[in-house]
Amino acid sequence: MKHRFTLLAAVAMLFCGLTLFAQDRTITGKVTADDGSVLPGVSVTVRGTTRGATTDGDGSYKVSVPKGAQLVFSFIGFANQEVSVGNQNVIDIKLIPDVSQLQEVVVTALGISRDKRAINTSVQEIKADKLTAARDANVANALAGKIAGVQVLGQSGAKFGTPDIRVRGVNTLTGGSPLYMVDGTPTDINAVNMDDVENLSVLKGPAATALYGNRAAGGVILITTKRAKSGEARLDINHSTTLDMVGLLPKYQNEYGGGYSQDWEIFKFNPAIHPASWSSFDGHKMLDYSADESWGPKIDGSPHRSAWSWQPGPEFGQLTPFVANPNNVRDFFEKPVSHNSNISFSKGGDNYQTRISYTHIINNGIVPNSSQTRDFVSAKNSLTVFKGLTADLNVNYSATRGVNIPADNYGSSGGSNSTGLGGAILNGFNQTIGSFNQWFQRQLSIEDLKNYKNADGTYRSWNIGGPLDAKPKYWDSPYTQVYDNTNSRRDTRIFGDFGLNYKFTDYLKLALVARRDQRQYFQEGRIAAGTLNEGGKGGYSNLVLNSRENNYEGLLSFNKNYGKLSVVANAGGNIRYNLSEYFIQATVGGLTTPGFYNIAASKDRPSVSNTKGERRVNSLYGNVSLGYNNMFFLEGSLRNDWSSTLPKGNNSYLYPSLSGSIVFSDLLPNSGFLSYGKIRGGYAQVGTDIGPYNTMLTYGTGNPFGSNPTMYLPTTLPNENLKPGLSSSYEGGIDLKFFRNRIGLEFTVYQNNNKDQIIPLAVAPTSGYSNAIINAGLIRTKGLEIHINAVPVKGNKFQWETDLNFDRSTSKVIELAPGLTNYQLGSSWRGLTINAREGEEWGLFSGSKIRRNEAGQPILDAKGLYQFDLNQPLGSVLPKFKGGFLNNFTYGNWNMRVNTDFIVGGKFFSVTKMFNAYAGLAAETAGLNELGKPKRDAAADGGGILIDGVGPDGKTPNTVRAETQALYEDRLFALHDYWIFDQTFVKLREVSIGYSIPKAMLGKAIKSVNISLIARNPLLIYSAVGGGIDISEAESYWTEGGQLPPVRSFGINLRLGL
Amino acid sequence: MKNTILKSILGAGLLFSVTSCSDFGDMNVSPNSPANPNTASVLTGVLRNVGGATTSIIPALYAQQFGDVTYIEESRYKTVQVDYNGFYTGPLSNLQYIIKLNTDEATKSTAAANGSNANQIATARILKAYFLQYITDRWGDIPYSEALKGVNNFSPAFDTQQAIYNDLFKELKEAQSQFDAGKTVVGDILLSGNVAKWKKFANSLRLIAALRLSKIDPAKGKAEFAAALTDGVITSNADNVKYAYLSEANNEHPLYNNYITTNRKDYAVSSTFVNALTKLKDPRLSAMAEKNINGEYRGVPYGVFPVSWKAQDVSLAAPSIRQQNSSVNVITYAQVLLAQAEAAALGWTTGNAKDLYEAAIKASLEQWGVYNEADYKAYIAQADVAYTSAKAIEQISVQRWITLFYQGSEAWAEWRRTGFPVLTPAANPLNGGKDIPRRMAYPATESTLNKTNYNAVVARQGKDDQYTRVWWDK
Repeated sequence: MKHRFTLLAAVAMLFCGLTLFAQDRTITGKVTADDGSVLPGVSVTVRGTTRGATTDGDGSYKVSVPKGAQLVFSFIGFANQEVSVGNQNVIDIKLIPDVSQLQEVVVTALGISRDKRAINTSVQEIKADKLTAARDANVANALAGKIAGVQVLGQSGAKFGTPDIRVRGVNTLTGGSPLYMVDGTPTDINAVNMDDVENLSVLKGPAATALYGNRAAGGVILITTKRAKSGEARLDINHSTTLDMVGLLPKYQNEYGGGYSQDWEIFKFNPAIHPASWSSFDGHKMLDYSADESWGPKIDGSPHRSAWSWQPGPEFGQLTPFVANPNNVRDFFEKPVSHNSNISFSKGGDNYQTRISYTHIINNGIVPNSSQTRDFVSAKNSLTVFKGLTADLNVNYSATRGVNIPADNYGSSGGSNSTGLGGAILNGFNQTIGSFNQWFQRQLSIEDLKNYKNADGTYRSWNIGGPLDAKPKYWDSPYTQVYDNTNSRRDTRIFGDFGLNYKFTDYLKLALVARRDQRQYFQEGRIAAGTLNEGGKGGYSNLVLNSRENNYEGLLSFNKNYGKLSVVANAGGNIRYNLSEYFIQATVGGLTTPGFYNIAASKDRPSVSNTKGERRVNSLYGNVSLGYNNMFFLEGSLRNDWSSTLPKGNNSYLYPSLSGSIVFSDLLPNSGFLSYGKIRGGYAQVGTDIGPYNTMLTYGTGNPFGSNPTMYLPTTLPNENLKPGLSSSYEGGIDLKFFRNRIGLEFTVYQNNNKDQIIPLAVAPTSGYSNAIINAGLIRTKGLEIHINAVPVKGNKFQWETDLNFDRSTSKVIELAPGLTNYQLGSSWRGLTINAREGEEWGLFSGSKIRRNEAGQPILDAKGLYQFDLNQPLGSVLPKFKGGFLNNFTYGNWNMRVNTDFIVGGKFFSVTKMFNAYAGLAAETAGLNELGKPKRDAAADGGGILIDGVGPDGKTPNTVRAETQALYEDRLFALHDYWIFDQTFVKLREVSIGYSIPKAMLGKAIKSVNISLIARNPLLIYSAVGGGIDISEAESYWTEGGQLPPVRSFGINLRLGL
Repeated sequence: MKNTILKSILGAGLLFSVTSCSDFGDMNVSPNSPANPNTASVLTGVLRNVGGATTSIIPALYAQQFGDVTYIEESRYKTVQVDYNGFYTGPLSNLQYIIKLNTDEATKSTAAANGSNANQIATARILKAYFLQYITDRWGDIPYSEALKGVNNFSPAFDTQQAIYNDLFKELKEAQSQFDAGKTVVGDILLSGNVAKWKKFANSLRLIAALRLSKIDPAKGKAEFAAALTDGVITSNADNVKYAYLSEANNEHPLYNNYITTNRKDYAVSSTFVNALTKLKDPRLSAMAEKNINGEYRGVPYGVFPVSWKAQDVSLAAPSIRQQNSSVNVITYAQVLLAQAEAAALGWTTGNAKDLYEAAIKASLEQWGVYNEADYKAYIAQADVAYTSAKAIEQISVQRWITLFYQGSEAWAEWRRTGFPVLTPAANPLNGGKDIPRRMAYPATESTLNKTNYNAVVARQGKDDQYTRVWWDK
């Protein structure tokens, strides 16, 4: 090796020396592509010299050469060409695209980097720059619209929610989340520091995920974090500051105030029950303060007694004008400033790479007094100890502290947390938006609500029993909730791996890795004594959860070429162990000592429970991939799992995968049109198991009756004969690149057959059980995915790059279980269910439906109200298609990214809309009707609403006006049909405009500076639900019960490289 | 070096595959819940459902004993489909298991620690019959003979109510004679394992079930009635079956919860009820209703919408019956006497209808704590109350409706059977109908999870709405 180098250098020097004596001449010419278009920027060098030139805008060049010289033309994406000058003076060159230069490396199963050319399945990768366009700190949020076949079911930013991710639609009866692997360690997406992410790759179908086994049925998201590069030292700083604000609110009416009737109540002094001093109040106009609805008197400015005028303070006894406060809800939400700062250091040499990184994020919530603070520390180290042996240590620590995370969910029913545990004391009640959008009095002023506590410590509310009963009736002031009924959470995770890699030879490697993901979670919740809930006696609850996952794995890898044949083979094993333990307790019956928030303060025997879950999966697996001539590829894999959670005789399961592809463009003559073409196809199976303790009947323990303990049978019947589930999948696709790779198209179709899937099947509860754990029949998911990447404009200065993702996925229940045809996925108000039903699309709504005649017109009753039928199918939640549209514009040092995503079709049930109207808060419940009369006036006086439909005979057009309040309260409440909407929306998710300061201006000390303006969630361009509901941030995939509003952020981001 | 590593890896791999991958020991045995239950605790868990069943509010609203205060919904028959699933997956399924654990050879001796096998089985059978009659009275034909079979039948067919009643008579009869002299039942928070009381409970249930057949099958009703009487029914208020709540949040009286704990005050005594008792100058009114803020008895206007009153303006249930630890009635001496009075009036027995009727009123006044002889005499002397054989059924039924206050399910069933008192339906029902409901529609799960059987029962019994009458109501 050393000798060869010396020889080369000597020859080069000799050659250089000779050229000094040669005679120069000038060559000109033009460089074009094979399709005839001119190529600017092509480098033209004289072989063996430092001389050269670059083609100009017309593709022309001019270079002086010595006699007998050779010219080398090189340009990225094209094969180099060498031309002997000979006697020519003009040399025109046509460059041919070089397919081999297109090498695109992607990360595949087991973290193995492969040339995308050799992959037989659909893998879509996204680099950090696209992911972090607007610096969303949550990796899952940032995925929206960016990968074909990936759906982000978002959560409101007001509760710092983490979305659910669906890969390729419905993979399991109950949905199915993907497995997140960070540098090979399975963990939670929330533990991932966005600033550490180098790239993210989504393995969609079983053919791609087969090696991950039973947890990968919902797809795998592989995240590779940044590592130091050999020979480079870097210090990077990345900081953003954003201003956050409420994004969207329903449209409210501002014509009528609180109450159940438009008639004012008049205070009548009664000496028997009222204090003598109240005699002067006689005749005062009053509201029905106990009403948490707005069907009350017209807001006419007349002097009235507000709820506050019956509570202690300067307002007591005062008459105030009855005026509208149209912005009351909007004014409640704050416009906080949030920060996200990262600093990272990296350095690499021949034998080591180290990167350490620290991120601090302060998210202040739009709900007052709520915040989330996050710290991430990570270190990624690699040491080559001696030749062939490398040791790696990767450690990622994250700590999240949540303060008063607001609840969503219906009305006062409590919120939730990431563990899914705990009741309303722990998680809080939704007394903010759940009140504003569902149960409120429209005229209230936010300034008044801020005064939520009396001097003596008792609580004030807008919603009191009456003048003599000033206790909160159905609602506290939202500020009581925010400041006194508090909760706090600490979520700490540490995950990473310790690994050894040994390279026996260039083609044989062994990796032994131990991985752990450990979590500690603590939460406590408080309900103040004297507030509405917990009988006004206060409450306290806390939760401690510890969980860990260990993975011990070994992998032997072989990679060698035999002439035109390439062989890649892996064999390995894994032992996975999961442990989860939690301890949860809550006071019962109130606090003995108000303000003493401790379980010891429980008035009655506190509820206390501890739970442990344990499981192990042992696995052996291997795969072989063969390539011929870098053109034909064939791959097969086998994996066997043994799960502790399955019955003893059935706990071993083996599953294979097989796939192949042909780069057919290599077989075609070169053309300027098609630069790359590949077809691929695969078949795979993936086995699945179930959570622990589902094979044996055990009894639950319930609330004791005095000193008598209670026990009960579970309502879910375990199954000692469970088999592993097995999903089989076929996929095929074609990858094409056109016009010298300016346009790329990836198209995939797939079908998943989920067989014997283990589910808690809902059975007729008259059997004694409401659910039975069974191996369910067959669910078939079919779909297609298209990813188009194009560079429509590629100039010297200006470039436009775009990605269009588009996918469609439908799931059908082919067969459930003998005698059973319906799997209920969920239920809502008064008989609304969502189902997986044999022969139907997954996610079918069933509920009450407006009765229609053959022409499709609603049939109305004698009062002009809708008629309806129960238990009718109301459409499926599955979207028709969805996708994203990403754009990146570059002009010189300027860069702009604009990311949009969309969903078309699929149904959604909005509880908020239903109650917003029921309670007379919604704009649609007020205003004028088509006669120009107030809708809320009596129908007999020309008010009311004339519903477009036909009379009871089913034919004659309706002429009966419905009373507005009766329409919304009596008839439309729980008339599910009316509140089920198309999910269709188009959302502008992210916009960033950045400027990189030219290197010339930076001097030596600074490598790079980039400043950008960012916007997250700037605009919901279109939404079929309308009315201020943002379906892309809903509580669940099919309904919301009391939706916190979306958060819109604008800010600035600074990136500094040293 | 290279060879050593390679060898140790191969060795480790071999070891890994040889040590059985599939043996996980007891890892999948739950440490969180017991595999072997204590039947006493299971029984207590079942009995915790009795209070909620007997005080069920929807039928009390249908029977117009109560009215909605703010959300005028169930008093306008809003909810068509009412859920009975909790009874099957809760008390019924657990009772079935108590019987199984006391029957199977492998478990019966362990189970006997909590009472003799016979006593536990008898108790469980009586309670099963109680819950199943409760369900069939409300929904009509229900899954019965094929129900509660777990994995053996996930879609139980519906039995006719007639077949169910026939079996209930048999079950109650057999159960009350099954008790033995062995250890009394532990965990019995209802009757403290008192065998004599359980027998009277069973026979009284059977007596009232027999009377339920007065319209549809008087002959059968008469025979069962006589048999029940012979076996021995409740004979004094001391025998009343009551469910006593406790002074603790997890076991508190439902009205205490609604009025005090949550401060909602959703239900008040209805105007129909208050007006009827006021008209009769009924001494029980003060024991049942509370005066409003103005010191008057004012029932909440029944089924009227929109509302023009608040909770303070109307009569809530009396504080004396809704303390955190108040008791609720499951079956009372007055009920049993009224049943006997009606049987006598129907000619089923040779008893004296008038005497039984007056004894029932006396028992009821005593039960409600308002008895004194002078008031009682004055009360029964009133023209509307004094026994008249021509109006006997109506008078007995009105007295029953009064004494069954806050035993809504029973009050609604007896109103359906007798048609008394004559009630006026709510003005604007929300269910699309005009009349007072005569049954509850099946929960949505029947049409989604048990469709074939559901379609069959609808074809047999009639439309699944609130107006198809159950068998004994035809």
